[in-house]
Amino acid sequence: MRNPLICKTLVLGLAFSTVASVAAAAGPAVSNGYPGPGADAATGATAPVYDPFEKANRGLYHFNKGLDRAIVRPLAMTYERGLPKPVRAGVRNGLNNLGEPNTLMNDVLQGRAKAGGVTAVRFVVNSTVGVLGLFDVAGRAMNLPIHYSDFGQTLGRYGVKAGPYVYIPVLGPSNFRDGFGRVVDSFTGILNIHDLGATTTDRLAVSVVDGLDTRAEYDPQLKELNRVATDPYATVRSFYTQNRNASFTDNHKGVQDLPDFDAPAAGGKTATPTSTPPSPPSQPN
Amino acid sequence: MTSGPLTSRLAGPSPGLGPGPGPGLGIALALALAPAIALTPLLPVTQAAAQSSQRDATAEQFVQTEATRALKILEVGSDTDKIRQFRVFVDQVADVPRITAFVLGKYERTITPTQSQQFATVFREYASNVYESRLDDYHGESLKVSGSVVRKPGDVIVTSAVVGGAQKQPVPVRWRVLQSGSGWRVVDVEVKGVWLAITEQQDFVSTIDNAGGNVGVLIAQLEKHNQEAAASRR
Repeated sequence: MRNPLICKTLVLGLAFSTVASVAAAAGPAVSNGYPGPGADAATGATAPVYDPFEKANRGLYHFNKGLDRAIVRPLAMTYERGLPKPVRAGVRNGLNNLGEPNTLMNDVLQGRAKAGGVTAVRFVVNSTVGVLGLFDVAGRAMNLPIHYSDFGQTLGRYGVKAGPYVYIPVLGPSNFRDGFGRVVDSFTGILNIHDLGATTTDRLAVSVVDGLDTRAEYDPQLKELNRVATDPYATVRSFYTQNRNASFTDNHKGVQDLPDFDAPAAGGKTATPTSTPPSPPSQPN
Repeated sequence: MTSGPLTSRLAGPSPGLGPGPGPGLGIALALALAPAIALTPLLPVTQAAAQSSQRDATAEQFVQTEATRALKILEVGSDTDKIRQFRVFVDQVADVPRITAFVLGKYERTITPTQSQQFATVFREYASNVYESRLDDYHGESLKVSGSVVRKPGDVIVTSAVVGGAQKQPVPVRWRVLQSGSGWRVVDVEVKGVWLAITEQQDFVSTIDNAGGNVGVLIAQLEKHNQEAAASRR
């Protein structure tokens, strides 16, 4: 990476953090009128995820699963086993660092001054003291852990609805809002905004390494999900949707959006499995 | 079920959409977004809402006490010991009948009494298998309750963090506790925005939907799962 460009990046980062602190000073602590997602006033049962293309999505889900089994997972596992842990951690830190400017931009767009400040400090410290982002100095020594912000999240914070759920080939779960957000993120990522001399191949390589590293890291969780879920497609959809909603909904509102736990006209609590002590499985072994 | 870090990266940076456009376009877009930055002071600071909302000290105390007790159970003893004690613990602390009804979602209203009885049995076993396979994951963690939000009377969300042990950073965990006759009971738990019982409900309802509304298909699947779990224990 060339020097003037890093300077440019740092300047941009500092400019954003200034805006963020101004926002913090000026922004009164208004408690309501928050532009979150509309309350899906669900009672009794959870509002189902809007998935009008379920049939096609399921097809793509199975396509991805096949692709994962045949190519992605084997590559990811080779990547994981082939590199010593510290090297992989460095690569992960470097990838995370490349993502910070976009996180910062979205922190600012979302009016999250404190988060934006954290991101700015992280980026500056890790890019310099952390040797171009290879070491997460800010996270370890300054107790400023990483967080991720993206444009889909920003849209969600301003009340843009998720729209139909979509399962994207190779990339996985998304929806109209977040898919559009990804496109914007791909424009605003550091490798695009700043002329770091990155070629198309470089960008693709970064994406591939990022994808493989992520895949390897979450292998145990994915295995567990596939083992435990009765409908893994629906479970992934539920995970994704809940996690995304929580990423831009403030705690208090999120709590009010939860479905009531008891169904309004449930047929009584006839099921009393707890009255008998749980016994070892009496299934034929 | 692990509702752990899987989702963090699902939502995080992911392999981009491949080659992006040239830097010029990117800058143009950044400039186009600049006016929005000026508007940011108009956005409310969201923490304020949480602070002003009502807390419930008894619910917080309940979670703190019981979580400490749970982690203590997991600290010592043989696996069979832990499993036995933990099952007793779950029956005392969780509102299993309410959870059992909730995870069936809309089908809770149409299920026959016989199926309801069958489901309760297999679901109890299934849920036990899921968490029992993970009991070994805990080593010296502790839980610190940090607050609560009253959703409505008798329905409280308690916020906490799991610290220490294998955790490099505190992991925020939220508990949904409902008032029942004898005090508070846990009905749901959340990590990274994902609620366990809600996820379970969406999983189960989808399975039943795809079986044309036949709850028996779900029961059979859970039974099969339980048998596999039993077989792997032998």
